[in-house]
Amino acid sequence: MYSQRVDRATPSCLIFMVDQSASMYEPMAGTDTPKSVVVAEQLNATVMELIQRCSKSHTEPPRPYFAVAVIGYRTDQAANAIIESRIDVPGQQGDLAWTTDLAQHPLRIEQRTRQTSDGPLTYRMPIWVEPLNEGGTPMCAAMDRAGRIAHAWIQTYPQSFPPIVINLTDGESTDGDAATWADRLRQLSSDDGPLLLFNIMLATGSELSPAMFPNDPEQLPDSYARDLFSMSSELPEFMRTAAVRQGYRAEPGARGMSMNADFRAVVSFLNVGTSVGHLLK
Amino acid sequence: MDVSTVDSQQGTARWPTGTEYSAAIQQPSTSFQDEVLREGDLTLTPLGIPASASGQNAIAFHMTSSRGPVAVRCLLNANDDGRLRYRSLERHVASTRAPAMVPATWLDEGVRVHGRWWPVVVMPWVGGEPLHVALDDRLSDSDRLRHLAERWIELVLALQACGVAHGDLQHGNVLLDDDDEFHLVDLDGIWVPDMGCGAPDEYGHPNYQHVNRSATDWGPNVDTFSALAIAASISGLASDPSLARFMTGENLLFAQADFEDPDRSPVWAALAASSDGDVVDLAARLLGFARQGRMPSVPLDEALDMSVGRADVRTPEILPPGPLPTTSGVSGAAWWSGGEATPAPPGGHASHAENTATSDSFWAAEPSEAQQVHAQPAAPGAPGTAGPTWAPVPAATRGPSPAVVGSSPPSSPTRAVVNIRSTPRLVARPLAGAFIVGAVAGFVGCVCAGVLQAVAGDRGADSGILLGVVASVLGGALHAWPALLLSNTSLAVRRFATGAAVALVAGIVAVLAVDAMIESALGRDDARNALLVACVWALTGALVGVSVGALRSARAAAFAFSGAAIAGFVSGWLHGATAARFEDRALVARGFDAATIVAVMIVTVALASAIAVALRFARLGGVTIEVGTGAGSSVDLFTARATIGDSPSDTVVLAGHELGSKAVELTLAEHHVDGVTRLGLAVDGAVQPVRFTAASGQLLAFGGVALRLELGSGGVL
Repeated sequence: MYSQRVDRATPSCLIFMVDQSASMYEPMAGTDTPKSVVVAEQLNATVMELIQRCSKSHTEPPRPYFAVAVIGYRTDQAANAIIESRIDVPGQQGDLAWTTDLAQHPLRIEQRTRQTSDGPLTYRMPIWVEPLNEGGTPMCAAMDRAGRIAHAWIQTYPQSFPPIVINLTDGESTDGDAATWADRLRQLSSDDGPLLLFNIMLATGSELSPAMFPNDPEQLPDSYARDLFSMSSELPEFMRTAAVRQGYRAEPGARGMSMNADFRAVVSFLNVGTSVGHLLK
Repeated sequence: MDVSTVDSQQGTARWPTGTEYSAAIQQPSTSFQDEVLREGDLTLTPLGIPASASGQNAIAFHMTSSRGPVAVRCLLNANDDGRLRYRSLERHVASTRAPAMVPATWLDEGVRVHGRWWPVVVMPWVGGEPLHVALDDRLSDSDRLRHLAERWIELVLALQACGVAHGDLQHGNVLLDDDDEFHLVDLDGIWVPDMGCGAPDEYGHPNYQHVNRSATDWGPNVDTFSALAIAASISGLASDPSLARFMTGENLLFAQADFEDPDRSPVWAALAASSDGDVVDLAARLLGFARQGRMPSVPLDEALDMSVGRADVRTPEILPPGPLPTTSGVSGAAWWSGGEATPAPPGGHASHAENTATSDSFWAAEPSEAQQVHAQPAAPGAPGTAGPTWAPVPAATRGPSPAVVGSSPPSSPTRAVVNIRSTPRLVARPLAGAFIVGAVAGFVGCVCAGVLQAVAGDRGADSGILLGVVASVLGGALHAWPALLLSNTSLAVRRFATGAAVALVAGIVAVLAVDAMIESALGRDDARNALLVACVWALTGALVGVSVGALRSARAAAFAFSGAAIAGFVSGWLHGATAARFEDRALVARGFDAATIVAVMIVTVALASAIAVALRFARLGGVTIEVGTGAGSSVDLFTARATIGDSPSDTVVLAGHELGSKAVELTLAEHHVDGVTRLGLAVDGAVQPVRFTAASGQLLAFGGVALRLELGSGGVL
């Protein structure tokens, strides 16, 4: 289980569910930056990582090893759910786009300057996802959408590593019990194992001390955390190793879940959750 | 707005990601320490981001530099053995000249990310295509392919003979250049003897490995199975073009499934049906190994009987991506199990995305409907680009290929292994050499003196002639000896003549100076006699030493002067003290007295030894030849500037290697050497640019020669 290599014949599917509710405008714990901006930034970095993993030669475009969907969910003023793809590139089929196409069609390239301990570092960064926030949190509808994408994917690539769904949110679902939908998602399965659903809850205000990859719900602070725990899949062994490499404790049974995640937690979480690239050759 | 300002707060346990490396290296002046890399020119994609190629554990960037095009591999996770592995490899490759290995250098402080240094591996970029692409290009030429298959087998045989195993032979790691030369890259799984570290974490590409390959299989013969698979693939393609249907872009002809379940795999049957007996044979052997429970641990020559085939095929170079499934936006039948009625998720309609109207089969889109042929979109900002959107590196930027690490297997690979660490010949050591030189010089000197005296008749200058002849023979021999050790006869003769001439002058001076003294003093009493003879020899010796030393440097002259004077005095005293007792005065006049000869020989041995020791102390440094003509001997360097070449005017003359005059120019400092060379020179296996530095103890390898550098006066024993 969870041992299928990722290549052209058995590509991998990554579905990012991005909470775009109004509360995402609030700053990320410990910074002045809105959560939606942090999330968009990290998603761009993650897409860039995935593309790099598909780059096998500097004279060839990146190979189509990953199909990526970024589903944003929010509601409009009339409380209608808006579930839509946050990426848009040629070659995109519905919500999914190959890394090959993503690589060649970012929205734009930004020139960034970052302060490092050695002085300013200037570099170029492609952008695919823009931050957005409005309204409530229709998580169930978003999971429904993710489920359809994943289901269709499995029909097309039954032998591939199962789809990975990563949900980035800062609050509870406002359109029903997300747990039911989470269970439905996790029941989908390819020949290589059940779909993996990971949830990261972003911290707001001054809440810190993130819980990362817990393996025991009893140790979690509140019922909401425990709900999130039961909604998250267990990390496959190689991802657990990746988590340890990121500097976290991840005991056997660790789940792909993070509470009160701060910036660093977001970065690490995404690295771990997409570390299926290690199976690349 | 910049969110990634938590730079220095990142935990140090975490290795940089590819994106972080990519960002950091966009500013080479701050992120590299190595000068060549700092001044290098990064290759960018059409979008202006560094072009990269990623593998399991590392991501490689490409840049053009003063060393030519290089690949800079940045690690993505801890590779504790990496440094050890690469250093062992550098040493081994330098000493055995393993074929086709692209030399790689490990830099501990390679690239700076998050305020600290991370290691990188730098290697010259090898022009060439990965094997699957290269075979594709050559499919119409069956002879060429057949030749390639033969050369492939020869290459792996030579590699194994050098004691090197690559560990991860696959189409992506075998590059073929336009001259049909193989280059092997990605050396993370290398095995060399005496490595000191364990097996790597990964066990090669599954399409090229035995299904049960494990850590214990990592060793000198770990390449046999994959080499055989590649050989069978190349020759198979040669004999049957249609076998190309098995190439997926991730393999040649075989895939993991073919090894796991051979009975259900069509490729074996296809190969067995080949009209070329060699193809059938290779495939059968590979199949035999695949069926075994364990990876074969035999070397390739044992596994094979020889011979190769050939073929022709066509495959597209870059395959289009596969189909993407369509998902309709309309909720209809449930995609989930459990059979509940579909609740529309609360909050209204689920989406306003695209949709197809079929409500009961939103997952039923035919793959063909969804088929996306990968068109060639124009790259932004690259008008008129009709071809592939990723710019290949123009051939003009390919740098010189290193001269040492040749891409064709050496004709007798075992010879290189024997030469290194070979016991230096006894005579090459200074003191032993001096003994021989002194004894021979003394003897020959006496004989020549005797002949001359006989010819000249009975004259009063008999001692003078003896002294003069012995001095010049000694001087010539001392000067010619190093050249003789280098097996360079013509140079030795030239040096002898020079040395003899210079020493003769010294000898004559000595003779003239003491002539009167001897005439008047000899025969008075033994003690005074001895003293006088001692002085004579001291003076002669000192002058010979000065002259021989002066041919090297002023410092050498001074050292040799003092050393020879002392030795001359002591041994001369011995001669003088015993002369009366042992010599037959009548015969001495003709220089043939045995006792005289022996005594003279003792003196010359003493002088030669003293001069040799003095020169060793006087030297600034030296090179020991480890591979090349004169292997085992060392050449002393007395001046700060020294040259290596094949001209007699060079300081270290290495004939027979077509190096040219002044092939390498060295400037010696106290603890290092600065060098300039146009040859591809490697220091401890790492290919250097035109200007380089080396330290004492390092091995310089170029043009078929390897020299070990020493700084400071050397040992005399």
